[in-house]
Amino acid sequence: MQDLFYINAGIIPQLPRISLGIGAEILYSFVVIFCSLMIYFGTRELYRLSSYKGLKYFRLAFLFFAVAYFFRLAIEFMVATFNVEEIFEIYPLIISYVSLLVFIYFSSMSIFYLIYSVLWKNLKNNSKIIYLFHAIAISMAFSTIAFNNVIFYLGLNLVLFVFAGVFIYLSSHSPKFKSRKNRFDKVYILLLVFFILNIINILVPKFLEALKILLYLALLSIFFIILYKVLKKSGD
Amino acid sequence: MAKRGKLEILEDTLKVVKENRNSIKPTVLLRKSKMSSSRFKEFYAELLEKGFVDEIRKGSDRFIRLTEKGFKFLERYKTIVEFIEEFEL
Repeated sequence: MQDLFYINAGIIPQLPRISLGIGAEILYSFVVIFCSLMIYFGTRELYRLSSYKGLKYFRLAFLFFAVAYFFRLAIEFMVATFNVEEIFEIYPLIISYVSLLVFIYFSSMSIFYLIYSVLWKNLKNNSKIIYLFHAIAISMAFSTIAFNNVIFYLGLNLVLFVFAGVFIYLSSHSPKFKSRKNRFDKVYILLLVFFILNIINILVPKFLEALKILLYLALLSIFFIILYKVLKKSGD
Repeated sequence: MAKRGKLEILEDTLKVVKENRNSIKPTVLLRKSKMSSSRFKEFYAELLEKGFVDEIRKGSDRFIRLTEKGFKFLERYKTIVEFIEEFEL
């Protein structure tokens, strides 16, 4: 009834504010870090035996996911400890800058490594492209801090997502994979969507507040699917 | 004939060594590997460097044999290939 009153009065009722609390954030980050490290170490023997490049980049993607989530947790912890709304409100600012720089670099690189693990065969003649990815990730980290602008950062992530999604889709639909029954590209693209939303969530906490639990559950589900497949396929 | 991938070449080569009672002369392996001499030389150096095979001397002859890692690779080859295909790597 109260909502109807607000709507009639031309006021849109806000979505309920959901605060997960630092305990839930720690648990969530811990599960993501644990899954990522399980994937990294679970594929160690296969990589040691094969030295296969695609496997190397796949493993690095999850190692970088783990590091990014460690710094994400540190940022969440600082925001809660200093009782502020956003990371840029923490002083001395150097702590905010360094944590955010490391977080954005590692999270962007984890996405680039995931793309490269699927794409590297098509880019054999241009093996230096991984250095370009490092340069882009560093530029993204520094420009986010320099501009400190939410719209700029959202735009940057949208470009990154479109770039990643298109490349993964095109690569996995190349004639090489035509006969394959189980395409994994949908899981990769979903992982990218939720991972980018997670990055946005740490920089613009209010942007996704109402959807936070759903977002966390979706990302955890994807990590569990990948972990399950990795453990099943690697035989460990 | 489709071009063999690096992993496939590795499996074929190690299999040849294993099927020869784990002891084969480099010249015989070269002949059975279906590679050019220069390509084989390069590939063989990589096998030694990565520890898939080692050499033993019997008199004046050199013989190649699989190491533990070489056997492990053959054992896990199918898993490696299936993993790569599953994750589109």
